[in-house]
Amino acid sequence: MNLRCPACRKLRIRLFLPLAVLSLALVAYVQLVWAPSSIEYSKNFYHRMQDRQLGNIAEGLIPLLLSDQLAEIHTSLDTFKGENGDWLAIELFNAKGERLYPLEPPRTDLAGPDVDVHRRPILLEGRPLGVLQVTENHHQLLADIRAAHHRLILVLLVVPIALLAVLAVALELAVSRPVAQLADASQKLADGQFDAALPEGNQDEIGQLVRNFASMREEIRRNQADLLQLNATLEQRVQEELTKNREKDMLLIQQSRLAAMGEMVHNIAHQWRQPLNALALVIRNIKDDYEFGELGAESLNRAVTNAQNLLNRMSTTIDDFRDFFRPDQESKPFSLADEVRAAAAIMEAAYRNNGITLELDLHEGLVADGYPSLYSQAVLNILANAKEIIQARQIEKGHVTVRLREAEGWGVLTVNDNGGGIPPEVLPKIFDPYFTTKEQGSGIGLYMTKMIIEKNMNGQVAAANADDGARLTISVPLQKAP
Amino acid sequence: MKNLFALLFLWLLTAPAFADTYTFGVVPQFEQRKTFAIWSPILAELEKRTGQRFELVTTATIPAFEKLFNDGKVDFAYMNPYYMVENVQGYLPLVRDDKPIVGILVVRRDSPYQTPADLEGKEVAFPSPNAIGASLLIRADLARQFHVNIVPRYVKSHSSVYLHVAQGLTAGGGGVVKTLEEQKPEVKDALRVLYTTRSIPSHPVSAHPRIPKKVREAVREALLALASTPEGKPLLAEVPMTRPVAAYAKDYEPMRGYGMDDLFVREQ
Repeated sequence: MNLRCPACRKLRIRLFLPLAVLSLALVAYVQLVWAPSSIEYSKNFYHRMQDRQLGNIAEGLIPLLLSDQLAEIHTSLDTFKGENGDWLAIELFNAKGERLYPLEPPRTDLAGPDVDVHRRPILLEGRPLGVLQVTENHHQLLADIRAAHHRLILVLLVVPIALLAVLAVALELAVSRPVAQLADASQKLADGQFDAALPEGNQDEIGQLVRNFASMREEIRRNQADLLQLNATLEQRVQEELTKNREKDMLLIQQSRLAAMGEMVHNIAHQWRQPLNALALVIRNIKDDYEFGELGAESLNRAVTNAQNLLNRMSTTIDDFRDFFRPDQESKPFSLADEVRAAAAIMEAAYRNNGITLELDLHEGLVADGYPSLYSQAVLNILANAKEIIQARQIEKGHVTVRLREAEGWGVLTVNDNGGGIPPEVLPKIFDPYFTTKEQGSGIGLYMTKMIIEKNMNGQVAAANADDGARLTISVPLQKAP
Repeated sequence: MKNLFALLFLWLLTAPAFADTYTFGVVPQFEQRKTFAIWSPILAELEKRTGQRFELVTTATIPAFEKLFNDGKVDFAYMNPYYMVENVQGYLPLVRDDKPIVGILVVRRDSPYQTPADLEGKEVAFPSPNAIGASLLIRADLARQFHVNIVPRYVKSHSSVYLHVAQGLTAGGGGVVKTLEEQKPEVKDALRVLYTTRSIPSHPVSAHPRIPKKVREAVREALLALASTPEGKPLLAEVPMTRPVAAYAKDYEPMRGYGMDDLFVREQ
């Protein structure tokens, strides 16, 4: 019997314990309830039989008593006593109480636990003729019954024990051993061994379990082989994916740069529109002055100075844009308000030309560690996005408010617009790459903002609807005080 | 030739063509099966020895047999010897046992009674009123010899008499030696004989006077001869007739003066 199999021991306990308990309960019931009541019933039945027999004897004695046939009485009662081995004594008394039988009075030490005295009055038409008294000992009867009970109890004990033994053997052969083998094979499978012996599969549930286990093991073996092969190439594939991701990132960055450059060009166009118009006017004025013969050194110098100023402004714009988009070399402390203003300066002309007011409410002195150009680029993306929304929805009096505050060690920048807000179904996706609601949008601006703030500056970005538009929030940790 | 046939015819008329069947009545001292068991072999021997045929007859009760006897309806009878005194049919005794009949009066061994006179007024058990030895003789002697009045109690059998006395239910009881000897030791040891009566001859086998003398004598001789044979002696001992002798009416004459007549109970 496999005693090293804990599961098998539990199975045996679950199977055999109820049987054992039931058997013991049955034995206890038989011993404590059924046997005593059986004995009591037998005693009562015996007493009834004795009374009936005494009645019959008494009836038979009536004619003998009436005719004083004492010899016949003695002969009869001797016979009855001989036939009833459990009768210790029979006595017959006449109506006067004189003993008629036996000749000598019986012993007086006949009392006992299983000894009873039965008295039967003998009557004829209500007239007492005598009394028949029998002292009987039903000890042997009870002993026989008790012996039968003991045999029954023995059977009730032996049969379940035999049954349990047979069941134990059957369980061992049919269940425990196969289960132990399966458990061993499972353990070896967990250790990576696929060659553990399995029990023979019969056409029963255990056999089905064995077959299923074998199939499962084979499947695991194949999967493991695939995984190992996969694992062998995993590093290579990871490198490939990393390279792809870097390329994607580079592409994104490139696209972002291109987008930023496009934005820059667009903003340069905005910035240069007015100076170019003014420059055109200066040149025209020179022509008009020449045509009207009013061109002199003074007017010419004035025109040249105006033109030079305009060209200087335009050149400053180029420098501003160039510096804005020059990548930072290293992480360093920077003023959040300065970079917000730089981004706002880039967008100023575009806002103005589109009739959008840009309000800045910036607290000074908020310094963060990071890449200032990336921060300002992130702010620029948000400002550009706000302008595009106001333009796309043709908001009459477009307005964007930029507010910079400190909150519990964070520099919190909020950009509110009155562009009508972000649709609820769009809101969760606005920071996703390549997600755009614009017909010709790239969908990477806000994604780049999120990447810049979260990856490079350990900050957070958030978008929500507020008032009559959207509110985008950029939070970056402020430099800790020394 | 004609005369010869006439004589032959006359002889056939007067002489028995086959042996006659005689009824042999036996008083029911025992129950009928025992009576038949005792007497059937004896009658078979008689048939062999006498050439006659005998039919055993008995009754369920003694009074019934007494009526048969008094009516003369049996040819031969084994009967209470008292009936030899009355004998209205004149039955002639043939054979009897040599041993006379005496009755015994028993009391408990530990009783204070020393003489029959001590039983004055006491209850005394008897088998039946007309049992010759166990009742009639004793009652006759108590009344005639000792002038004792007792209260008789008839208890059907000798064994019952002894048990009544041993059990102390009666002061005394009447029986005969033979039946007393047949009791269990504990019964016998509880009793003692207070008085033994005068004797009378034993029960006779008797024949009705209508039976031819030749046949009567043949039966007498056959019984006496049977008693002397090894096979016959035990048969007759069962009767009981241990030593059969020829019996005559004169053997029973002394009984007339015993005073049993008034004590004999006649069934109606």
